[in-house]
Amino acid sequence: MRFMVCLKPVPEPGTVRVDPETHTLKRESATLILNPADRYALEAAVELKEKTGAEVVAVMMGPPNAAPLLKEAYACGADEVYLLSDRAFAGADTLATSYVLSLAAQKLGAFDLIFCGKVSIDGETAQVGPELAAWLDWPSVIWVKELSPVEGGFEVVRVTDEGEERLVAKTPILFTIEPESNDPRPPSVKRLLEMLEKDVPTLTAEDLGADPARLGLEGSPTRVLDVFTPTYEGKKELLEGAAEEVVEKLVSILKERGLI
Amino acid sequence: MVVDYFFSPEQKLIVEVADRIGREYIAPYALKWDEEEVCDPRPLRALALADLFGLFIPKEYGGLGFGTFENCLVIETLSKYCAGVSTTFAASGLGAYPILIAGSKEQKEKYLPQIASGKKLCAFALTEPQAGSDAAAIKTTARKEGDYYVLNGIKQWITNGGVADIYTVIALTDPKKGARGASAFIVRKGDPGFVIGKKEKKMGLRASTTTELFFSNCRIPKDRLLGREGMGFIIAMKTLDLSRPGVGAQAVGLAQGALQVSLNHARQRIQFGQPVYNFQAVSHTFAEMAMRIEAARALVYSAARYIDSGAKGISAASAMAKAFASDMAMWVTERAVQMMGGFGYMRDFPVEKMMRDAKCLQIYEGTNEIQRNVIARELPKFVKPLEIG
Amino acid sequence: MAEGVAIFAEWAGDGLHPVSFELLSEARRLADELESKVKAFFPAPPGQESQAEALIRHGADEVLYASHPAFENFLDDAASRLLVKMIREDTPEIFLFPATARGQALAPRVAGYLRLGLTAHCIAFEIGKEDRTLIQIRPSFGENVMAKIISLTKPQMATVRPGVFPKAKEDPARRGEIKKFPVSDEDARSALKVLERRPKAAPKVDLSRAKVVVAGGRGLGTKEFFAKLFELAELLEGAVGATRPVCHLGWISEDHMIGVSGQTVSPRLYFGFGISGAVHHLVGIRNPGLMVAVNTDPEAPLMKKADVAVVGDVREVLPLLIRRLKELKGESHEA
Repeated sequence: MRFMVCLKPVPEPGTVRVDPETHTLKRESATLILNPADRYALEAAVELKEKTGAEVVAVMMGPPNAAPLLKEAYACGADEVYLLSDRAFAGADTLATSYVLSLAAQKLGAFDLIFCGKVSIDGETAQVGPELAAWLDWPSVIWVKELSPVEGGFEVVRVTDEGEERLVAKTPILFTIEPESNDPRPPSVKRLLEMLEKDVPTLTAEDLGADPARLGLEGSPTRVLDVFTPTYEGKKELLEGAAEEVVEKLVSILKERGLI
Repeated sequence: MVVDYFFSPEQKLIVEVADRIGREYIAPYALKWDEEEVCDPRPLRALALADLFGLFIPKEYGGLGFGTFENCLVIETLSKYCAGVSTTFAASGLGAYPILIAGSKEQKEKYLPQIASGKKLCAFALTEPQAGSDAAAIKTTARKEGDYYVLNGIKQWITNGGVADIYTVIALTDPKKGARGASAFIVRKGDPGFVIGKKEKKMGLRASTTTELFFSNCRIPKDRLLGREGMGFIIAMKTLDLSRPGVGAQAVGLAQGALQVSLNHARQRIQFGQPVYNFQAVSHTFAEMAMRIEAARALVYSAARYIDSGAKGISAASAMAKAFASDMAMWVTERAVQMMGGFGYMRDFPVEKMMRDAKCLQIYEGTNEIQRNVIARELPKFVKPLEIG
Repeated sequence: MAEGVAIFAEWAGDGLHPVSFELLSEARRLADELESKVKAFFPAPPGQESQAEALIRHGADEVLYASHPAFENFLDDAASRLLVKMIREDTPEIFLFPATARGQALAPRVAGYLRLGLTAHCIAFEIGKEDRTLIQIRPSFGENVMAKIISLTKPQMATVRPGVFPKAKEDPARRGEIKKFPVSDEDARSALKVLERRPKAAPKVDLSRAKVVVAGGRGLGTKEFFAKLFELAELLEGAVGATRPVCHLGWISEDHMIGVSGQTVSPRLYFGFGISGAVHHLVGIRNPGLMVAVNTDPEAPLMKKADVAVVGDVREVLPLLIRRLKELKGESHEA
């Protein structure tokens, strides 16, 4: 079996800058980390690989400076890693991003499973996984917390709004993995040392045979018109001073309002 | 660090991984483990998956083939977050040294890969109720019976007792000869007659487990003997020579952690209308803390690199690193508590834990008084007469 | 030509998900502004005509009821293929999905198949005056501002979290049309087979109904100190909420997260301890009765937004407040 894991580089909170023209993130300027939720997806794939002997291929669309994160993915158990990187990818929304990932899924081999994280900490859309499945015309199940191989597919437990559901799913299929459903491992020093002098293989738009009209900002059907900072009216009551005093004042306000 | 020690790319990478384990797998839980006295397997699993239990084990035995210096870097880094976890880690290394020092090829092939992978933890068992600083006063015996040794006796205050699978135990094969009749053995969890005793209730390092070990007619195959009969005490002393800079590194990391927590607090805490860091009595204390930490770090690193050079007479350097750094850590952590005032004394904040943890570093792996004995004993070899005028 | 404002009416296994009525109220507002119709796309098992009627009474002009026994369960692949087919036959101008588990599984699949733009977790909509464009408002990616987003494709699609819009009022006199959308067995074919539903014995932390919410942010410093919020919540008979960073630090599970990809709360009393007030968190607080913020920085956005802003160290204020409330409780018990 062969699994693909989709990883996203995200700016470490507090280090990001934004292009004032397009209102998209200037990822080159930020310190990049592996999206936290994606680490659960990688761990789920690697744990399943350890049970079944599959190969795990990690792919990431991102700028060249995201390459070290793929070394980390290799050190966390991926067998092959690829950076999907091209200037033409810049400014992609979820549709254009999932398009590029779908090309990688087709190019890099006959996959049985694709793993994605539940949600990214920057975009917070949780859309790329199911959109990628649609590009491939694959089924998908989101918020998967347990999975085990059965005849012809996988038995999975997914989280729902009402609780959980146990279901069987035929392959090929895409899963997004519920955070905290496993304990993502730290990178192996041995495998990081192996990668110390190596370059991460990069695939460009041309390598992927991409349709230029579907890439980046041009291939993105959503546009940011404008951004604005919400203003807050100054109706507030400011309590300052020694802690004992402010707590006393606060308690009397709560009493007045009948809240305690 | 105020000083750049010019780590190699490999060393930087090792520190990054250790720091990440500290941040993600230790820091959020350190106070809880201390409170509940829990040796949690999760950070140990992380250390194992990161290959760090194999750091100084040769590549041919499944390790990474690094040395004392890199081991010190990892211990220091982990100790910033929790000296209890780093104790479990370092004590496993301590238990592995006798096998590295005196093990046969077969013994190394059998045990070191398991240790390197982190699948099996180690412990080192020398101390006994009546033999602490006076290690030569041990009473545990190992009587040869055909193809077996039969062990009888009690070991005390053994770090990783019950948690470890592999124990390197010093016992007397010839009680009449005293220390020269001691031998080193590998005892495994589950060996007949080997029982883990009660878990000690400690002041600090509470995320690590310390127990008694009981041997009552514990029968082990004779191929568990490390080296030859009578070499036990030499193996033990060499082991401690190699491991003591690790205690120094623990002290440096612990003190560094206390500095980081308390300095941040002092810069945030407003009294008399300004951050308390602005007051000279406070800021000079931090300057002193930082100076002492950096001095200890330099000594620990130098001792570790000296050991890795293959030098023979390492006892004094090793003892200096251990004693100086742990005395420093006690002072720095106590000052950190003082600099945080009431906050420092509360168990909601980590510095009082650090202060309790620091105390043990002055005591275990040879009290700092014993370290001074070692240093003093060695000094005439190093200090030549100097005539001036 | 695309026409109408559509919603996904969510079958939740034993009835309509209540969020369906929240979407209806906003769809009604948008449709009225556009002088257009509200359509509810309703895939569900057979025999749910009464539910379709309820959708009409709550503001739908048309219900496209696609019934098949397989839709008793939510099947991501079949549901998305069906919706694609429905949209191709009857393309709305706007399509709103709930950002529920099902909605979040479905909407991106539909967007992927139809190559459409999709905006997640919107908190408000406006209609562009000149071109009837749907302006979708949500916190911007990675920055502490709100963004106005448009889609260049139709239907213009967006998801909305439960609790963001008010529930539509029921009008027993409202009339509308229920259209049966034919579903073949092929349409209902799925790679998924649900074996078992396990409702949670204790429901997931439901902050949306909490009268008092005690929320904490990174300013609380440690996981242990964060846990003090539970003490306060117990005293006030409230629930504990958290910001995203705190959930990522592992201080508390994501079930407690308030904000753009967490829950939406509208309590009588909201407490924010050590929360700076990123818009990602603030959008999850709707119409609180009284908002109290505690922070050392009076300039923090939450402090500006709050009704009562307490300037102080949470590490001093929180324990004191807990002690004071305990005293009060003790007094009232004695009285």
